[in-house]
Amino acid sequence: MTATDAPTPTTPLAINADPVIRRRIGTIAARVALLAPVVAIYVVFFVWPIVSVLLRSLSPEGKFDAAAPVIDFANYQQIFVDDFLLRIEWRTVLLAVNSTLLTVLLAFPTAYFISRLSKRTAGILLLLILVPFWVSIVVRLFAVTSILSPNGIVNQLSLALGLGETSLLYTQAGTLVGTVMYLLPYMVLVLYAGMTSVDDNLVLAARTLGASSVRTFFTVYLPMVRGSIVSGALLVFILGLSFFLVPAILGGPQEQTISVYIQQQIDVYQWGIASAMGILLLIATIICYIAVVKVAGSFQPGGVGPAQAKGVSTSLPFRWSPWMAVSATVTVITIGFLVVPVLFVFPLAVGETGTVVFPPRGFTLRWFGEVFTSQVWLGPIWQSIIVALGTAVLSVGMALILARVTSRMTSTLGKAVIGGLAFAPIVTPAILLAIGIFDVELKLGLTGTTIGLIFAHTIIAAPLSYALIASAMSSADRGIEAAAWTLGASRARAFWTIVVRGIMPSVVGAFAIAFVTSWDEVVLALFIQTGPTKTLPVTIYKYLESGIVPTVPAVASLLVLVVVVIVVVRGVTNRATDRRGAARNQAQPPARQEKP
Amino acid sequence: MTLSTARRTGGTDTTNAGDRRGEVVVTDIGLDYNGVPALADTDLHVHAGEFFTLLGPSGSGKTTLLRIIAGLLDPARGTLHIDGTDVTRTPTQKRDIGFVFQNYALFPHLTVAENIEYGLKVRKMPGAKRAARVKEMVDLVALGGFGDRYPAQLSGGQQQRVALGRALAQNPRVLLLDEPLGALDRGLREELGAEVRRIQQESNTTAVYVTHDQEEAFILSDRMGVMRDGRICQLGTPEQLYREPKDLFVAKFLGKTNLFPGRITRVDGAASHVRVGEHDLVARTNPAIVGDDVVCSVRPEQLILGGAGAGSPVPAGFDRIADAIVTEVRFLGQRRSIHLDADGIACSIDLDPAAPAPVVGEHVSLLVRPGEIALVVAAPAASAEPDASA
Repeated sequence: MTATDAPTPTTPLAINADPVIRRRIGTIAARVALLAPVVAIYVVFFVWPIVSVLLRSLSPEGKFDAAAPVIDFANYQQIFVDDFLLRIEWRTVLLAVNSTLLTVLLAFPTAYFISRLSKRTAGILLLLILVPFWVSIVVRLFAVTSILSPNGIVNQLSLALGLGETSLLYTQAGTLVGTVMYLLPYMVLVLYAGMTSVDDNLVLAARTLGASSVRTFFTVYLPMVRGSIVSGALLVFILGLSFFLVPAILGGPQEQTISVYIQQQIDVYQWGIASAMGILLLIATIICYIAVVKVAGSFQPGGVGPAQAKGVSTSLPFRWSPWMAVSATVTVITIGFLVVPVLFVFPLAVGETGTVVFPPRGFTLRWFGEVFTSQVWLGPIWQSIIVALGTAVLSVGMALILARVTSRMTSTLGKAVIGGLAFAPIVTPAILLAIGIFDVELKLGLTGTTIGLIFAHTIIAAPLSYALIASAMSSADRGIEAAAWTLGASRARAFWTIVVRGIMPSVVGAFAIAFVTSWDEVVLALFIQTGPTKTLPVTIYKYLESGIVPTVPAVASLLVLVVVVIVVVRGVTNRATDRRGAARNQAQPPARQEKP
Repeated sequence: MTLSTARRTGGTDTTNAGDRRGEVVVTDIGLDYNGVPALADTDLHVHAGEFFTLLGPSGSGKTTLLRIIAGLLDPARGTLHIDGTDVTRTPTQKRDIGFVFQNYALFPHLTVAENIEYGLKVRKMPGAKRAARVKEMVDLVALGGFGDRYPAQLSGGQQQRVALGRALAQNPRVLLLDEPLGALDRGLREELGAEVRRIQQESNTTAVYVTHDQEEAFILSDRMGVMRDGRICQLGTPEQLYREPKDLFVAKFLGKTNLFPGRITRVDGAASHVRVGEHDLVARTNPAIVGDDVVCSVRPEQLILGGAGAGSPVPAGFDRIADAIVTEVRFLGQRRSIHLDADGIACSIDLDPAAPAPVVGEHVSLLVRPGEIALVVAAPAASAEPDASA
């Protein structure tokens, strides 16, 4: 620091600028260049759709005119005045509340019972809950429709027992059954995670202090799991509130909910009221999510962490008691409720008759052969694979860029903002996202194109990929990248060969979860696919609306089989890696997230 | 600049050191974290082929300096030369260095051999030559037979060897080591420390080693620098720093010492006359001292016991520095540690365990050879380093 010879510099500031600052600007520029496509996709296919629906909701005709913008709350007023709309809203809230209550009542004893079992048994029971969870909701809906239909097993049983006609299809009760079936796995998994993290010593401590089991349960155990109960219930409530598929299929025309009403309105291009209702759903959802964050302290996407059997500790062994017996009974009901519909598709698929009946008449594999030979199914299968692959590639790419940028960020506020924005799409009600993206893609001429659907699916799949990759990147040793630099590797080379390769299991997991999200997605695909060839779940959905053909149960059984095979293979490979010891860090099984 | 180490340049001429390479010259390098200097403008000259250690407590800026040399941190000011080339703005990748990280930073998804091979692959070394070099490195770090293991299957000491082998495989000019032995237990640390030194000598590279463990520094270093609060307090050989600490911090940081406040009465060239209590002593002159108030630093092994009272005999060659009462006697195997109270100053001395031990409560006097007293400034003043404003 020679202070004596410091005449005022005559060189221009830019040349004189500190090289360090210049290099900082360089890295910021590189960061912007990387982020630009991610931000562009995010803005075009998420922000714009929401804003577009918002603007439409503020115009009485549901048409936003940029030349003459109007702000008019007539649509919102209508929502709270019109008798017909009020009835729809009341029905929606009632369905959400009832299904939440029923779900909690079933899930709590189930999760409690499983949490008290040994690791091995708990693992098997969790698998019985996870398999239905992984099977597409459309497939399960198909099974439920068959079970509940007038010539279905429930009605036959009821007739045989002399209880008279019991037709649940197209009733509130049927909708409730379907919704609970969808929500149950979420709730069980959230509760199970909460229950297994309770320290057994607390319960033991209460006992040493002289508290009875009942007292211990209410004064020690319950307060410890209250957070999971409340946040799980709120989460399930949110999902139930904007649920579209079950009410659309099982509810029938008289049992419209908000989501179903929105879809019907958009079908006839009536945007005003529908948009306002979509925004209303969004506001309700945001309020609930804020409550979840307040209760749980943080927000986990989908609310479901990695479901891993923990097994009960030896300090508090499993013991039968009346309470435990009740819990065991409820567990059997829950698992039967989840598993039976999934298994039900198999007998339906092998019947010889041209109509789908139960029990099946005769035995044939003809329908399976037909699936693989007719364009009716090969087209959708192919379309689904292409869209899912495109979505997975795009999602993983976006997730890598985003995770890379956030892992380099030092400001916690910046990280929180990016994290929050990244997860916004999966918090948004699917029906709102669907009509918004539909609106935007209509303007861009992307509806009916494959790439348009890939972009839409990426919006909901990328956050899940991001969650996996970001957590792997942040838990990986940051030093190894610097180590690669000191060995002479360029920044790009170090990133690919060290950072990405090091978290490869998570990258594969991120790819898989994006693929599955797209593969099972129905609501967005329903709106955006205007062309003749639709994705597989949408094709099944269309058959559910119009009437079942015998190949539908065959396709459904194949989809269930795929899930079972994947689960079994995973189980075997996991056990193999477990045996090999924790030599290599392994990725957690990704949580399943679905947007019905 | 008094910091530069002109003292030791007598032995080797560093400008044309044959095939030795990796001379590191740090000039006025500084870095601030949020306005607080993490590294004050620092000069340092590490000679080619030398094993140099930066020693200091955590937060003293030693890792910061090491990372700046590696190019993992950008300095705010100053320049850095390696082998005469200005590399201040050269990215890490192009500096031709090897870096051993504190936690090793081994690539978890690559085997031992693949870890060592990584830098060679980056440099596009042909396959056969590469394989030979990997084998050579595996043997050098004594990991024969472990080439196919993954880092997680190795013990801490083995991981450390892999890290060393990986850093050295591409024959870097400078080997930078950031507390590489910090995570190991004591026995292993000594064993591996000696091995690090052997490998550095055999591979003929310059090493800059960061640690907070003075024993490591003593075992390994040709020269070392003690750092504190973002600046280098003193440079020299381990012995120089131990025997001639320049300030109170260095005296206290390196080994144990007894501190007796005193006052300089007369400076006579290399000898300073000091008055400690009622005793007059002669000590080596410390040019860094400006005032009269000083502290005499005497190592426990430099003191011996004598009879109490002014009249008792003093062995030839010794001076009395203080009177004291024995408070504790401990047998520690190689030595006997005696704790004393010298008029309010807690002291300790180390005696030969075979020698007769004093008993607790005994009145004794502390004796020292005149040349062994090191004088340092009384307060740990920041002015210990005169600023090079010329």
